[in-house]
Amino acid sequence: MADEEVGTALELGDQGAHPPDSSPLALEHYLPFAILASILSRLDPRSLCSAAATCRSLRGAACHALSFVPSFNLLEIAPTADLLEPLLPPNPYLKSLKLDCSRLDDSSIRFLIRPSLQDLCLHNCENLSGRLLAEIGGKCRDLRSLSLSSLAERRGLSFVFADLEELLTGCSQLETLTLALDFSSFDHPNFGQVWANASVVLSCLEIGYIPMTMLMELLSATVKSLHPSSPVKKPSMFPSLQMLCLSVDYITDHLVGFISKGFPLLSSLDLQDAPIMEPILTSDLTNAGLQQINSHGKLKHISLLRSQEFMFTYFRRVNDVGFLLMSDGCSTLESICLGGFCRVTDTGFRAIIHSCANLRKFRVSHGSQLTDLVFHDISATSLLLTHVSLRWCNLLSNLGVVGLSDNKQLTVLDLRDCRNLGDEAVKALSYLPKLQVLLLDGSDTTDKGLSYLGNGSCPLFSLSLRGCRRITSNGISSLFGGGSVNQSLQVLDLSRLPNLTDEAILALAKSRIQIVELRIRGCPNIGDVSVMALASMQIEGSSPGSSLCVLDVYECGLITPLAFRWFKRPYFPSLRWLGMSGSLNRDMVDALLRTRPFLRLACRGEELGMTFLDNASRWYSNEEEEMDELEKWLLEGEDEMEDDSN
Amino acid sequence: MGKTIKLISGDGEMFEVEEAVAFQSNIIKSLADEDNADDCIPLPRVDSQILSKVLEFCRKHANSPSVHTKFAAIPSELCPKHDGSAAGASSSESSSAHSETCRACYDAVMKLVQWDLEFVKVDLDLIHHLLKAANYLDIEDLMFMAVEGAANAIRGNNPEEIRKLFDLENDFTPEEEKEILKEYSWLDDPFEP
Repeated sequence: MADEEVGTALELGDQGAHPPDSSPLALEHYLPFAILASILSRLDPRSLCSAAATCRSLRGAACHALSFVPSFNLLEIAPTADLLEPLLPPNPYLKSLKLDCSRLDDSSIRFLIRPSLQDLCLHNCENLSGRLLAEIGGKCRDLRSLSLSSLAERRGLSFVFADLEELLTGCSQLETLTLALDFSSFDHPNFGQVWANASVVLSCLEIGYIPMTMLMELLSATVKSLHPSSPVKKPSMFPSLQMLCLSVDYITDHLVGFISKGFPLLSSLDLQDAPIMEPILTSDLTNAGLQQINSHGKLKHISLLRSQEFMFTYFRRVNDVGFLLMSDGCSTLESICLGGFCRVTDTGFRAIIHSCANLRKFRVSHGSQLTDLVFHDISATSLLLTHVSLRWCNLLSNLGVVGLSDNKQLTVLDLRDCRNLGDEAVKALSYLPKLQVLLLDGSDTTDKGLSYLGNGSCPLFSLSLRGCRRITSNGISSLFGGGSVNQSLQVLDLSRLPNLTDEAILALAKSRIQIVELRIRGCPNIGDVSVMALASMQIEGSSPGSSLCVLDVYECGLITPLAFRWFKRPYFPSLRWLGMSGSLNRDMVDALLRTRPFLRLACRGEELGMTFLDNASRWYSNEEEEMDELEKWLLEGEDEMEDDSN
Repeated sequence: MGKTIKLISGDGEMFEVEEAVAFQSNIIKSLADEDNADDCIPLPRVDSQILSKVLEFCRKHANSPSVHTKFAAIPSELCPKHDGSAAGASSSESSSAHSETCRACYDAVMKLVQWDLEFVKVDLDLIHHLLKAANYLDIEDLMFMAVEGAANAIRGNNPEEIRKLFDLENDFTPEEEKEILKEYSWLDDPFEP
C-alpha cells in the first residue's frame, strides 16, 4: 500500500487535534470506508439490518454491503418476498444462500437464483414448483452444493423429470446434492441414464424417497457403466460418490450388493425403509446381504434402519451370524446406526463393538435383545465413543449405563424409551466431563437423579426428561442448584410430567440460565403463572426479556386465554416458535399472529423448532464436523479459483 | 538470533524486534529494504501502547503460516509435524508444498486463530486502534482479525446496543424512522429502531 494512500486513509479521522485515546468512537468518521465495508461484509443478514437501523451513515454502508456480502443465511424466519427482495440486490460475490422459503413462490425465483451461487440451501419449498430445479440448472453453473426440501408440496404444484434433467446437466460442478423429495414424480424411461450426464465430482447424494424400480434402474446402469460391455468406452457413472443416503421401499440383499458394487469409493451409506407389508424372502435383508457391506473396505459410516412407521416389522432374517460376518469386514467403521435388528443379541452387538477400533458413534434402536453385557468390559477396549444412542432398548439397565459411562469422551447420549433406566444411571453420567446432550425420555429418573445432574460436572447443553413421570418440581429446582448445568443449558424438554407445577418454571426463571428452547407440552399442572415467569425472565448482562426462541406449552392444563397477553410486545422478543392449544381462543390466536407475523405458531400439537430432529438418519445434535462460519471462511480462502482436483 | 529491527513509536519509545516479527508489516518491510544506515524506523502515527500490542500479535504470527494461505501452499518447514527442515536459505525443494490434508497444519492454524480471536476480544477502543494500526502498517493477518473482532462486537446486538457500543447518534428523520420500522420489524418483537 503506497504511503500516500496510507496518509489519506488516516486523514479521515485526523481533523485538527486528534488525541489518541479520546472518545467518542463514531465508527463511520474514524474508519476508512474500505475497512467498514470489510467489517459489514462479515455480518449475517440480521446483524447487518440491525446495524442499518442505527444511524444514517451506517444504513447507507450496510445497504451498500448487501451488494458484496459473500453469504446470506437467514433461517430463523420465513421472509416474504417483499421483505427479502431489497435484501438481495444484484451481487456478483454472493456465493452462499440459505433460506426458509415457506412464504415464497415461483415469482421469487428471479432474485433468488443467480449465477454466482456455489452453495444453495432452501428449506420448506412447498410453494415453489419444479421450475426451481430447471432454473437452478440453467443459471447456477458453478453450484457446488444444493439442498432442497419439501418442493412443490402445495396442491396444484408439481415437478417432473425434465426439471431434474435440467438440474443435473446444468450443474456440472455439483459436489453435494440433497433432494428431500419423493422421487416417484421423476419416473421416466431415461431416469437411469440421466445420471450419466450429472456432475462427475458428485460426492454426496441424498434422496428423500425413491421407489424400488427406479432405484434398480439407476443402480444397474451404474454397475454396467463400471464394466462396459460395448467397445466404446463410456465414462462410469458416479465416479466420485462417497456419501449416499436413501429412503427405499425395502432394504434387500440385492440392493446392498448393487450399492457395494456400484460405488467403489463409498465411505458413508444411509439406508432406511418403512415397509407397508411384511417383506418376503427375496426382498429382504438377510445375513448374506450384510456380508456384502464394505466390500471395498472404505466404509466409515453405515446406517441401516427399518422404520415401524406403517407396521410393526423388523429385520427378521438377520441374526447374530449376520453381525459376526459383517464385523469381519468392517474394521474401518467410525459410525454405525442399526435400527430394527430385533433378533440380534449381545453376541452380535459385541462383535461389532470389539472389531471396530475407530468407532465413535454407535446407535441402536429397537434393540430388543440388547442387554448390559454389551458394555460391561468396554473400558478394556480402546474405544472412544462420543455419540451413543440406544432407543427402545428395554433390557438395558443402570448397570449397562454405568459401564457405558467409562467412555469419558461421551458428548451425546440418547437413551429415550429405555424404561428400566433410573437414578443410578444418571449418577454415573453426571461425572462425564464432555456430556452435552442427554435424552432420558420415558425413563425411571426421579428427583434424586436430577440432583446428581445439578451437582455434576456435565456441561449439558440439551436435556430431555419427557415423560419421566416421577419427576416433581423439587427435582427441577435441584437441577438448577448452581452446578455447571446453569452455565451451559439452552435446550430443555419437560413435556408430559404430571407432577410438574409452576414452581419448577419459577425456579427456572430465577436461575437466570440462558434458555433458548423450552418444551413443557402436556403438563396438566402448568398454568399462566409459568408463562408470566418466563416472560419476565432477565438474563445477566443483556437487555431485559427472555432469551427463548422456542416455547411449547401445547395442552398445558392450567393455561387460560389470559396467557396470550404475555406473548404480545414487549415480551419474548426472540420468540420464533410457539406451541399453544389453539382451541383456547381463536380470536386471540389471530390477533397474536397479526402483531407478530414472523412467529411460527403451532396450534395442533406439531413439534416445534428445527433442532427437534427425529429423522431417523440424523443425529440429534450438531455434528462435530460442522465448522463455524469463521473456520469455513478460512478454509475456503479468498480465491475465486479453488483447485478441486484431488 | 536473527537480524533485528529498531522501531520508534509516535511517543518516542523504542522497540527492538526480530526481522521475522517486524516484517509481518509490509510497510516496515519496504522501509527497511531501503538503504537505511542506522536501521531505525520511525512510526509517528502509532503510539507505544498500540505498537506493543501489535508486536505481540506479530510475534505470535512470526513463524506460522498466514491464516490466508491455503494449507496446500504451506511450506513444509512451517508444518509442526515436519520438523527441522528449515536449514539455511529456503531452496525450492525444501519449500515445496506438502499435503493439503495435513492435520498438523490444520490444527496449528486453528489454534492460532483461537489465540487471535481471544486477542481481539477487547474493548472497541482498542480494536479501533488496532484497525488503524493494521491499516497503516499493512499487516494482513492483524487487519483480518481486527475486522473479525469489530464484526463480533456488532453481531447479535439490536440497534440500540450497537449505538451504545460505537457511540453513534440516531440521526433519522421521523419519516425515515417510519421506514426503518417497516423494513426491519422482523428483527425483533417489538422492534424499536
